Amino acid sequence: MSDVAAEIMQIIGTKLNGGDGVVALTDPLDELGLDSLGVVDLTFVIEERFDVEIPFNANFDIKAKTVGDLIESVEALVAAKATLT
Amino acid sequence: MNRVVITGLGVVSPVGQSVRHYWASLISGRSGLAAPVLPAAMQVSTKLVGQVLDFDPSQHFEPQQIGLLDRVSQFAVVAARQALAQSGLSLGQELAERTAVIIGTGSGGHGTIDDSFHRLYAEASPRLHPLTIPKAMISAAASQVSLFCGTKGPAYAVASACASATHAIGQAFHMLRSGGATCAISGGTEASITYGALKGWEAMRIMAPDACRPFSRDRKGMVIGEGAGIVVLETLEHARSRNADILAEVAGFGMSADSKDLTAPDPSGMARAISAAMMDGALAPHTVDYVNAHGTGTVANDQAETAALHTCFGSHARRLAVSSTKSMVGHALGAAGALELVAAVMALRNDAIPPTINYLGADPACDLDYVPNEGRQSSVRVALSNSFAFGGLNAVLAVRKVG
Repeated sequence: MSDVAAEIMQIIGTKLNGGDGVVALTDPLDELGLDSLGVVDLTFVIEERFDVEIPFNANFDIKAKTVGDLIESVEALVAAKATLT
Repeated sequence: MNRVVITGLGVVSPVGQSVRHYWASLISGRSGLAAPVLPAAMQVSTKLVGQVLDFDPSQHFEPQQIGLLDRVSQFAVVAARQALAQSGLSLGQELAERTAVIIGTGSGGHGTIDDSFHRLYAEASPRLHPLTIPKAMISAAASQVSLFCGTKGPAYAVASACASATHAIGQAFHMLRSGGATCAISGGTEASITYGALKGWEAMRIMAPDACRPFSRDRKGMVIGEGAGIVVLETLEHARSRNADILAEVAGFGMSADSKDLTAPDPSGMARAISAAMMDGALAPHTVDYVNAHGTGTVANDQAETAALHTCFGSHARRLAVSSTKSMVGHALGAAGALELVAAVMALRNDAIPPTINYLGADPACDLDYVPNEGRQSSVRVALSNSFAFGGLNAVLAVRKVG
């Protein structure tokens, strides 16, 4: 698992189960136990941590995406940023 | 208790800056939504907004007046003048003191705030324009409408985010009904398509990237709009005494708070506001023909609003025509309820129902008649206008023909 992936899993964990949550890559975002605003807030925390803009719309991405999908898109954004600088 | 009627309408909208143009656009399904026009340095990812692009303040105000008026007040004054002109009211000293101004807005002079803070924080300017505060204050539009129209009765602003205009008009209705005033100029105004506000909306991640398609399958969110809607209200007795052309009667008004969640809509809170408006007007469900829905185009709102209509109307729900004019105008936030009440009044007047455009087909959770894509001629006896705001603040107005 990449550092980015490990850190995102850890960030998600702190949002669940009183800060002690465990998630799997295959978990759908709408089944984490967060409401839609919670998922939007999580996206914001990850954006701030990695200084990237994650394209994410709460109307349809929450149902369509898993934790693994989210990690993949952040990894791609972080890699793209590294190429630019 | 006085009966209260509407005798004047005014609008500034992305699909027309007069009621005639606005209605012609709505009934023919013409959209005013397009890519945002902002200064080049202001990068946003928002793809679509409902801006009033061809609004020219110099056509409405003297050069020395323009600097005193934020765009949000300009919209309100222009719409108020239209409504007052249509009503034919002449506000002499006595009537001016019996005329109220109650104007809803979600965020007031947002453009003035954005520009002023940019000067301070980004450009390190040490000073601001002397009228920054009176231009930006949330009650500025109410004050300016009173100044320009010459009213001297009760005047204030009402804020309840996306339900502001509906709450404002409902307050004016109550005031006239109980005898606190004889006439009122009331409605809502919003001009918050600014860099700061759009970034805030983007952060909520509920903006549609493609089109505003309320109640449709594959809907992807809302589109921010701007503009103003203003109505002139007066007691039925006063309107009849001067042989005014009565456009509609305000039959009922209902309000509720969800007290549940800051942003998630709640069908039971919506249903309580709709039922309260029906009870207020002693309206039987089967007499309602048209609902101008809140219908933002978000997955959550449209599903919840559909459920609320089922709760309130039972088997009649499927015979209602329900449309969202936000599909064409966008969500004008604090102005939305007034723009939509104007649409509902025009539906009554014309026995015609504007469509919900961009409709692709049914969503299993939205199973009513949304007047998809094409307006239609159809008798309208009673129409509702729904407004359901962030923070769980709900307001519903009912209008009917005056026989």
